[in-house]
Amino acid sequence: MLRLIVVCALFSVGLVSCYKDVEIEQPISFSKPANFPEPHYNFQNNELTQQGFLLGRKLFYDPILSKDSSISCGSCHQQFVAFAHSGHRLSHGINNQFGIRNTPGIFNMAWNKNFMWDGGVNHIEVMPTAPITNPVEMGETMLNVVAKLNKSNEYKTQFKEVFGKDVIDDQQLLKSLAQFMGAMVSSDTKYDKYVRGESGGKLNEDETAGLKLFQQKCASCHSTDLFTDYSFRNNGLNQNFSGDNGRAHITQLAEDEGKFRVPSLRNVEVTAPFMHDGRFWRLEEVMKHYANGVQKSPTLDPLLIQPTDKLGIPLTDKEQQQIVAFLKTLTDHEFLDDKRFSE
Amino acid sequence: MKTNFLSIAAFAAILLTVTISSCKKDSMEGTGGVEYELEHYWASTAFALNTDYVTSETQTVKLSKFKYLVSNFRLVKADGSEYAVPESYFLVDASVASSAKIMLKEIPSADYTSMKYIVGVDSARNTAGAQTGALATTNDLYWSWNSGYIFMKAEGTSPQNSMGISYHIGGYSGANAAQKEITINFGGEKLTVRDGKEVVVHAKADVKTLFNGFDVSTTSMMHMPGAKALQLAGNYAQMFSFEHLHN
Repeated sequence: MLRLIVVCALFSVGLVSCYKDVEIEQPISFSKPANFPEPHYNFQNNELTQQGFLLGRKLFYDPILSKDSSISCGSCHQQFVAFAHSGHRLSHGINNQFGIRNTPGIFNMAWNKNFMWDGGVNHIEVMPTAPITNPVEMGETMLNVVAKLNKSNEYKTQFKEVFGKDVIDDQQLLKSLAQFMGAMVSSDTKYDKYVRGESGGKLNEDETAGLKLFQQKCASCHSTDLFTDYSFRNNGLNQNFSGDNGRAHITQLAEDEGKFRVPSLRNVEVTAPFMHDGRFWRLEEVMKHYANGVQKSPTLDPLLIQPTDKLGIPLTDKEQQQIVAFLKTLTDHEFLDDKRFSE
Repeated sequence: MKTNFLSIAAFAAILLTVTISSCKKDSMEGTGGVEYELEHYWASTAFALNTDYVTSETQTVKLSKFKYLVSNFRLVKADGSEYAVPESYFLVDASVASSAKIMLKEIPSADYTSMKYIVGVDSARNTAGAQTGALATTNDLYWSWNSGYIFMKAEGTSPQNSMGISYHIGGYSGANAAQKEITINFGGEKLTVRDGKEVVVHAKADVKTLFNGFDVSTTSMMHMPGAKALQLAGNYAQMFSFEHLHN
């Protein structure tokens, strides 16, 4: 009898252990959602594997990437707000230094052809070099980060499992992070289910009205189900942009002065504050800006100049409300809670 | 009588073997190595870091850092046909003596009359994501905020500029493309690459040319593609010249 009890106990323990392992690591895979265009990055020369993805995730949350080991990617890119920075207009890096631009969210990066508010980064794999080496962010050098990783037996083992080499180099580091970030797809919002005719996709009256208004008045820039055309535009935030000239910083062209990337509007319900400098705390303020806050400058987007020469987009109070209601259907709660992307 | 015959036979055999092996040595089979050895000068003086030199504008510079990327090597025959050396990307660093000896491996046996390469990195590799070797981001020749390689870095001090000088020359496409094509003509000599053999091309890299027509007093930091970068690139296009071969 005692033997039976012991055997049952051991069996149960065994079962529980197995169950825990299976529950913690769900497999990662990448596929194009039915309502999305083709991705730009398809993990060419960087095959997405479970091990590569997990290594990238570990690195994403590891402050070892920063000079004084105080800042990780996850410090400013928080999953619960779609990897933007909750409640921060600007973010602080090492030694409490601030940057000049609002932290963007991280999702659907495989569809980006370039990155950052000014498009200065041209490939997902080299994206991390920017925050890692920016003196006001992580303040490190790529050489030193790689040296630190090579001092860790745990990292050397994990990197070797993925890349088969005895020494960790920067390409391996960057590819791992690209696997993690590239695999994070946000495409299961109420809106997506509505578009794809899946259950859970019923829009209410305001949301439906908001969608129609959005398509008429916003979708020329915030286009496709990615909710951006990835272009750089001056949306009338300032009369002059001497503080931050946006895209012109990269192209050095006068015509790009004050132009910033059209951001995806997915998850905007949680990614406040808004705009490249985080000046608007609420979606209602954004609507007010477009309705009657747009400022003139030489490179103001022509789509924001009405035939009457009035600036902005004609939006009544009711219409603004309805668009905000629609925008809230773009929140992907499954993505925000997905344990595969968590620390 | 027997001995004589044997001696003659032996001699003939030896002669034949020697002839055959000589023929083999002159055959255009297999591949050999080409070592491209750069000798850095300031005009006619051997160049060293942390040393004062006078530019063509009669300004003085002392460089603490001088490094650059060269790539896309091609060996050219008399008929104009080219052999492109695959994956030929190299980092030359004045503080690393061995980096000035560039090894081009597995070059098809042939007679070559010149060599071509570019200072910088071709556009395609600037947009291809994370790379390795000379193109790793750990080599301190990469712009993270405006993705792309820094083709040449010259940093140091000058009495003509109290802020110091720091020139990072790059720009990979369009109007700002700063890659420069270099042709090292062997001046009528032939580089005879043969199976299993290593030959050497000696060239001079005159660092002084970088500063030709450039006023260091008006430019301290130059860290982006653009007009100034193009001006300096126009200079490094003139930096390299043929010295001699060792076949």
